[in-house]
This record gives sequence, structure tokens and C-alpha cells, in this order.
Amino acid sequence: MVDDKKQWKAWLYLSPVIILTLIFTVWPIINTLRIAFLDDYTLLEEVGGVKFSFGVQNFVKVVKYPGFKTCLLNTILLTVITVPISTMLALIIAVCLNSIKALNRLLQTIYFLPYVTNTIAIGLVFSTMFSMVGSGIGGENPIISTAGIINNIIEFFGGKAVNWVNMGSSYWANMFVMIVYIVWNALPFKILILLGGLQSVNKQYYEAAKVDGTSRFRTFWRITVPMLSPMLAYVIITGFIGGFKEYSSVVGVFGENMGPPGSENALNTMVGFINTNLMSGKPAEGRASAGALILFVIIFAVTMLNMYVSKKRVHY
Amino acid sequence: MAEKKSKETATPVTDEMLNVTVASDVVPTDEKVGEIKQENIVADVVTEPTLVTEALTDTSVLSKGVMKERDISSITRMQKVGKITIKTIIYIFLIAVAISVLFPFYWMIISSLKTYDEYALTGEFASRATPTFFPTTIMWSNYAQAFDTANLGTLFVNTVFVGIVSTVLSLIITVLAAFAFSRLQFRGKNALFAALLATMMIPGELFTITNFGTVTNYFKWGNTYTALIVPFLVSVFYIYLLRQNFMQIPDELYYAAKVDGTSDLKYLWKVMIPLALPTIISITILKMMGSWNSYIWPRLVADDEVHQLITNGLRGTSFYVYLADGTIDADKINYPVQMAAVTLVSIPLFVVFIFLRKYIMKGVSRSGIKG
Amino acid sequence: MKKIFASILIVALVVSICAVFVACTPNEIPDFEIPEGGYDGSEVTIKFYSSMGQDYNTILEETLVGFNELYPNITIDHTRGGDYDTNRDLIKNLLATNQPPNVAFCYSDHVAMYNKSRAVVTLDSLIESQIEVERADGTTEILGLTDAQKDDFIEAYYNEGKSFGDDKMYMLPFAKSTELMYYNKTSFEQWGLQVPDHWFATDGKQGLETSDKTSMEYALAFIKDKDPNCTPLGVDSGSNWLITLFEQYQSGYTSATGDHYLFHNEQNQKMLTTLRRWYQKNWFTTKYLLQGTYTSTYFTSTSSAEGKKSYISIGSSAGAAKQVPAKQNNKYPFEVGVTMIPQKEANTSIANSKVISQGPSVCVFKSANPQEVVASWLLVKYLTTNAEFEARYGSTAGYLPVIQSVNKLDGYADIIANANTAENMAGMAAKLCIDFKEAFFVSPAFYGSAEARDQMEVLLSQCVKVSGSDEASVAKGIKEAFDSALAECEW
Repeated sequence: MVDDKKQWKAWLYLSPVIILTLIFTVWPIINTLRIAFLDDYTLLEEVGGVKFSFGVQNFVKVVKYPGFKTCLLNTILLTVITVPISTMLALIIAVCLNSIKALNRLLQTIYFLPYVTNTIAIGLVFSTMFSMVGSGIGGENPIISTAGIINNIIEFFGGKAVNWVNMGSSYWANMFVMIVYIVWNALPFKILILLGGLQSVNKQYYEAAKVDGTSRFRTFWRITVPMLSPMLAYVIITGFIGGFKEYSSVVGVFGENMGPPGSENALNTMVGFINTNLMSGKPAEGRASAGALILFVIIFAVTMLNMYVSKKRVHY
Repeated sequence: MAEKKSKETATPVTDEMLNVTVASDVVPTDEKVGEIKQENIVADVVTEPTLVTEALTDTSVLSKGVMKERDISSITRMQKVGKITIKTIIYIFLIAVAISVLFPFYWMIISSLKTYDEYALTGEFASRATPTFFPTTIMWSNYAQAFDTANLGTLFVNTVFVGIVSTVLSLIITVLAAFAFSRLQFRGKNALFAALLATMMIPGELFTITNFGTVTNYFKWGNTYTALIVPFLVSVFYIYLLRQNFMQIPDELYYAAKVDGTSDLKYLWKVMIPLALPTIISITILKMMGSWNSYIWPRLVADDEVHQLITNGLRGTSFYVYLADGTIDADKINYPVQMAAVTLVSIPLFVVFIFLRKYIMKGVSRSGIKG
Repeated sequence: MKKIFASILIVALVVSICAVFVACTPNEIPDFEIPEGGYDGSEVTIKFYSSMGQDYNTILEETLVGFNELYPNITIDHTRGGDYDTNRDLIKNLLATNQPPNVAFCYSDHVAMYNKSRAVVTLDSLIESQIEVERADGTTEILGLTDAQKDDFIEAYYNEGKSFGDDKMYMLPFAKSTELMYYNKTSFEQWGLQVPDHWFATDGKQGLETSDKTSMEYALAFIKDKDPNCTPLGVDSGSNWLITLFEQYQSGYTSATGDHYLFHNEQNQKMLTTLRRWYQKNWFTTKYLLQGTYTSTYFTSTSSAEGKKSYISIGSSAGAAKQVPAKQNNKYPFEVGVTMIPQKEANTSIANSKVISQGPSVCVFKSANPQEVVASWLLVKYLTTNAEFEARYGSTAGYLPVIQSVNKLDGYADIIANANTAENMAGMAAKLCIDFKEAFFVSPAFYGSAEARDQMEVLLSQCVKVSGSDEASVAKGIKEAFDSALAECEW
């Protein structure tokens, strides 16, 4: 089978992939390791001929930096809160959707819409929905012309308006908006996958359960969830990976300040940390690399843990 | 027991899943992945029926015994009432979800058509406490202002240009690589494929730092379209997707073509690509969506307006309120115009979605990668 | 198969190690040396990056025509790089790719950043050069600055180019602005209130109890007493306010050398405690605290409803025209007075006063072709010593010219001389700035000085919002705000 001519051809066909991967994937991995371990590395200084000494200063600084802890905490919080919520919600929606015939197609299409939107663009919409409108909000005497549509709805049901995203808003109010937005954004993909899984579950088991008089709840836990476990594991793992890379949703809602005015960076994330350190007026590529490596280790560890758990739990 | 089974007969979807996440140690053998049915998404996520039966026996749902005797007629009546109640609840729930999904879009569109005063409840609207749910005067001019202020025309053209060029080039590269991996035999094939799959585990942010340096410093591509296109031409995931698809095409066709003296490329073009067209369309759409949504990279490498992409225009632009005398009121952000810009950016994706819904959903169900 | 995989890895490793070495090879660019004969008339193209808005761009383009009449072989490739930060990022990327521009608009912290790659030319030797250069119209000029030209620059502005801690000149001033205090003259006169000339009461007493009637403390308490709904003082830039206070009290802000950040100390914390008390009584607000609303909108407002009225406004000289209220029935609702911002002590002479100044400068980048550098210098010199250009640019942009000869220009002198009313607030501001020139100072420039400036704004807003009823908890909150500002600066 393997003749030399074929060999030559195969490598030819693969050459663009190999060359591009070497340049844009393999080299970055090596280089990130390199500059992460060069103390206080900056690109500009390297261009200027400065030599850096080998060391772990970047990591020390990153770990000690209070801003980094905020980023890490925000990322973890956003992930561990949104992944279970969106997965549960998607599961319930998928099960409900699977049980109906009328409107099924239409609803499926509607639920998928958030997927085909631009994260930044719709983040702006969420930001306006939660915003108060007026001037001097957060100051001593703000002039509020409207508390914003979400607050209007809350007030309609007898609640009290909350400062969600404007100046002076609390951390948890901001967090809440981000959680709502991320869940809203994450649902389509999860529903799609879970629905696909549900549609392939053999109807026989449900009928058997029905004949057996098993309650709906029990059927759900005993048949649906185990049947769906591979898809559930899949959406949870991809959800975790995506959660740790959260960035543009925050930019959408809060802008590149990564927080409401007056508390800039309060909602910054790990990826945000890396980007800020590349783009600010004080670029620090060495520390950004250290941050990227830490992020990689976290994602790797979490994925491994997920895989380990799902290997034990997933029913095939 | 279930655990033991999973090792013996892993289903296609778990294979795919594992490859996305920890591809390095679970490269699928050719036989297993061959099972993927391209035409049916649902089939990709099917767990094999025979397996399920066995799993079910484990759950002891069936072993519970025989149904007890009951008054059949009362059961059916109760069931009917219960069924209708449950159906109603389900519909209410589903429609409520649909409304909350749609609400931001509705709000985006009506806000984009309001005057500033109507939006902010100032001026003639100052007496209202809650916003209007439909604009009283429809301001199409917001769209014109948004288009001009955010320079959307240029950004739109840029994005489409970058999208098309990178999709075309990426497809060529992907098809060639997938062909080599699926049809040709060469030393180190599996090792190379495994190595490529392994790179998918690493977060892209880790590449950004160096690639920025490479692109600007060594290649001098700062502020060029090249910088926006070339680094993203290789997508291991698309290669993987297409390879699986190619492998389903029977070898016999290939050998027959060889006997006829058809060249590899001709065979690829005449036989394999038409057969794998659905996958190729999915890849095309996902890739285009990727360009449409990309934010960080263009923000980094293209800081002149000429080469930025559409998303950069949205967050980077201030939309002002113009006073009667034509001057700018710097204190206010013109949210309606901002919403008009957002709508303009969102519309193309919606249109694409409406026409190519099937391919998008199919592609997405396999990729799990937004954009 | 494994062998192939291994060999791929090895190749990748070798390639990257080579790349590492290439990257590590020092490609140091030596300090600039003026070529013999200065500019030899050769054809060069200069890449010029500005932050000009459309209005000012026309003025610049027209001036460049004048330059080209003298030096027809110097082609100027002018790029408008967007606002200051965008322009900075653009140039940063050009430097990172080893393709520096030749001339750029800059702030001192930008230069500190560019200098990380040692890309900025020190201008000292060029300034001192006595080489004669021939011009196209047959005349000659010396390459450097004449003594008259040097003296023409307002000293504080000129010295900003040397504020990098090594006493070398990195940039020439282009246009400047400063902070001024605008006050509601009508109300002040009506109330018989003296215009404050220093901040804190000397007798240590608070509010109306103090006998120190020319302190800001008294003025604010007095105004608040007269108009309880108002916010007496609006400050546009909290950063400038704090930096100026720290300079006036010599209590430490930053240093260009050694330990950069000096602001974290007890004296400053005490000062912020006082400002917090003021804020808690609703005596002042800042643009940042108002989420970006210019405080001039408060100052020019005629209604104190909802607190949106102030009687004193501290803002940039560049925004002087905005501090004038809209005419009602062809009459100004109140008269605006403008004067120097308060100092540490009452009756401080101008020479002992401290007022911050800022604004764009121009710098020249190194290049492989020394003729490009010399040509760039000629351009920079032409622009900054050109009184007519400075006057036009200044009056359009609301900036202050950096050379004194502008004031002798017929048109400009007229504007200044006739600037007595609100009709010409910009002229009044410009006139004051000429009088105050001895008081100007600039904050030190180093890599990270922009971050320190931004942090001052945050620091002020955090400190004034510290909650707590007893002194200890307030002091603790304020200290925490300082800690966080310092941590951000040192990052």
C-alpha cells in the first residue's frame, strides 16, 4: 500500500496545515513558555534589545496581584454558577420540547436564535435593558428618567428597582446580569445537543415505563438522564471550557472597562486579564503569558476532572 | 456493568466528544468513526438501542413486576385530565422561555426606532414613568446615523472580505488535509493526526500573545488583511469533521477511479467533495460566523479603522445625540442609534440562519464551538 | 510512526530554538548622531502621526505647504492616528514591528512607553547644533534652536520634554492646557463672598465656623448654606485635582526615577479624608463621579433643582467656552469670573503657586537613515516655533500656544486684549495662562505614569465614598483605597 509516490503526495497535501500549525500553534506554545519565564518581559523592550533574565517573577507577580485574584474568582464563579443552571434549564426545555408536537419546529428555531447573534452586540442590548436611564446615576442626586425595562417589570410585580449595571451598582447585581446573559447565550447549544439525544432514545423504554406505572419524575431520572448522560457530559465539559474562557460577554455588557463605571475591572475574567495586559498603555507580555499558562493548567485540570467523573457516571 | 460496556462499544458521539476534549489519548480507530451517519444529526447522538436495552434492565424499571389490576376506565379519564394539564403547563413554560429568548431582540428593534427623547423619557415623554413598548415616531434615520457614525459600511465590507477569503482558503487546506488523512497511506499518519488533535485542547488565548508578535514583528502584517486571515486558516476540528465524512465514502470508488486513471485531485473534486457537501457547507457557515463574531484578534492587530471588523465598531464607537443646532451633546449616549447599529450587525446572521438553518444546526451540534 | 512524530517534534523544537536566538540577539539602535552638514537636501519621506481632529487638520495641512516651500524634498506622509490612546497603540505596534514612524504627537507617558524599545531620539544635540542648513528659498537657518527661539518657549512647557528623570530632552511642546477656576461672579458679588484662593481652613475649623474666609472650606459651606440644593463645586478632572494638591503640599505623587509611586502616605490620606467630608456633605462632585457628565453643565445651569447646579467649576482652559451659560433674552443669566485655582496658602504669589499643565507634544523617532531624523527635526522645529500656526491651532482647539511670541501677533494680541467678557471666555482663559506661566508644573513621566494618573481618579472616587461613622473605620477605608491604587500602579 505504502509506496513512495503516495508518501510524497500526502505530505504535499498536508504541507499547508503543517507549516501553519508550526508557525501559529507550535511556536506560540514554545514561545509562551519562554516569555512566561523571562522576568518582566515586554515585547517593546525585546525589540529595543533588552535582555531578560530567566526566572519565575512573572508568575509571582501575577499570583500576588489583587486584580488577578478578582479575575480568577469571577471566572470560577461565572462558570460554576452558569454551567449547572444552563444545563438544567436546557435539559428541562429539551424534555418539554420533545414531548410536544405542535409549534415544535418554531420553538426550536426560536431557542436557537441566541446562537446566531454577535455576543458583543446582544451584550449591549442586555446592558440597555438593565440600565437606568438619566444622568448622574450613581452620584448624590441622580436624575433618573426611567429605571430601565427590567426594573419596570420588577416594579410592576411589586418589587423594588435595583441598580444593575450603572455606576454604584453592587458586585452581585453585576454578577446577576452576567449570569442571566451567559445562560441566555449558552442555552441554544445545550438544547440542540440534548434534544438530539432525546429524539434518539428508543420510545420503547418510555412505553415500558408507562405500562409499568412509573411516575414521570422517576422516568425522567431513571431513563431520560441516564440515556442522555453522554450528551450531558458533553455539554457540561464544553460548558466548563467555554466558561473559563468567558470574556466577550462581559465586554458586551460592560465594555472594555470590564465593570460598571467607578468599579473598573470588577468583573474582569482570566481571558480579560490576558487581553488587558496585551493592550493597555503598559503592556506586559510576560505576565500575560504567565496568566495564559495558569489558565491552561486550570482548564486542563478541570477537563480531566470532568472526564474522570463522567467516565464513572456516564451510562453508555 | 455499564462501565464495562462503555469501554467495549463507545458510541460515535462520545468518540467525538472525547476527541474535542482530550483527543490525545483517544484517537478513534477508523472502524468506529466510520459509523457516523452524515445525513442525520440525531443519528450522531444515538446511543445504540441494544445497549440501551441492557442498561435499562440494570435500572430495574422493567423488573418491577406486573401491573396491578385497576379500574381501567378511571385511569384513562384521570390520565386524560392529567395529560391535558401537563401539556398546558409545558406549553406555558415553553412559550415563556421563547418570550424571554425573543425579548432582547424585540427590545433591540423597538429601541433602535425610537427618538432619543422617547427612549430616555425626556422632553415630551418626561411625564411617562415606563418606556413605550412601540415607538410613537419611527426613526429610520437612526439607522443612517448608526451606519455613518460607526463606519459600518467599511467594517461590513472588511468583515465580508475577510470572511470569504479565509473561508475559501481554509476550505482548500481542510479538504486537502482531510483527503490525505482519510485516503492516503503514509508513515506517521496516525501520530500526526493525534498531534494535531492534541493542539485543540490548548486555549486560543495562549496563542494570541505570540501570534501577535509573529504577525506584526516577523511578518510585518500589522494592519493588513493578511494578519486577520492567515493565523486562523487551519482548524483541526474541521479537518477532523471532514475526514470522518470522507472515510464513509467506500474505498471501492477510489480504486475504481484509480483503475480509470483518474488523478487524486480530480477524484477529490468529482466524487468526494460532492458527497461531503453538507459537511462542507456547515464548515463554511461556521467559519463565516467566526469572522463575523471575532473581536479580540482584530482589536489587537488592526488598530487602524481601515482593517477593523464589525464587532470592533460596536464597542469602540460613541454615538452622540445631536442638538437642534447640529452640535453634539457630549453628555448623552444616543442609545437608539447604538441599538440601530446592533440591529444592523445582527441582521445578516439572522438572514443566513433563516436560509441555512439545517446546516447551521447540524454543524453546531458537532462543533460545540461558538463561531 | 512514532519516529516520524518524534522527528516532527525535534524539527519544531530546533526551529523555535533558532527563533529564540534570533529574538534574543540584541539589535540595539545607537544614539542619534547628526550627520556632518546636517540636512543635505536629499529626498526623504517622513511618516507623521497626529491626533488631529478634522478641524485642526486643515490648519496643519496648510502649514505643511509652507514647510514644503522651504524644503521641497521632504515629503510628509501624514496619518491621523485617531485619539491620543489610539494613536499611542498604533505607534506601539509600529515600534514592536520595527517600523517606527518619524514624528508623532505624544504625551510624556507615551514617550516613556516608546522608549522601552529605545526608539525616541534625544533632541539635545539637535537643539544645540549650529550647523547651517540651506533652504529652497535661498536663505539658511541653523539646524538647532536659536537662543531667541529657546527663550520664546514657555519654560515649564519646554521643560516637560526633560521630565523623564535623565535630564535629556525627548520632546518639544506642541499645545498645552491648564486648569482654571471659574466662578459665578454674580452670585459671589451678591453674597459678598470672597473668591477662595486656598483650599483648607488655616484655623482647622470646619464649615462656617472657620474665620478663614478665603478658604475653599468656607466658600463651599457658605454656598451650600445659601442654596442647600446645589452642589457648590464641580471638578472636571479628579486626577488633576489630586496631582495638583499633592504638588502644592509637596506631599508626594510620583517620581521619574527610583521608587516611582510616592503618593501612599499619611499626609495624602489625611487630605483625602477632608475631601471625603466635603463630598459627604455634597459640597463637590467630579466628572468621573457623574459618570462622564462635564461639570460645566452644572456650572452653567440656572436651576439648582435636583442638585444640578454649581457655583464654582474647576476645569481645563481648553474648555473655557463651555463654562459660559446660554444667553437668555440676549443676556447672560450670570457673569462668569475666572482665576487661578486655589493654592496651599492664602495670597500665594504666582511664582510660588502650582498649577498643572498638560497637552500634546511632538517627538522624533530613530531611523536607519540619519537624513530622515534631521528632516523630522526640521519639521518639528518648524511647527513648534511657528507663531502663526500655534495661534491658529490654539484658538481653534482651545489650547494654549507654547511660545510667547504668539501674543505679539496682531490678531492674537487683539483677541487677548479684548477678552473681558463672557463672549470671549477662551481669550480670557488664554490671557490668564500667559500671566500664570511661572506657576505651571508637569507631573513626572515614566513607564506607567499614565496608569498613576488614571488611578488618582479612581482613588478620589473610592475615598470620598468610604462609608463609616467613626474616624478609625473611615481611615481604614481610605487606606484600603490607597493600597489598591498603589497595587494597580505597581502592577
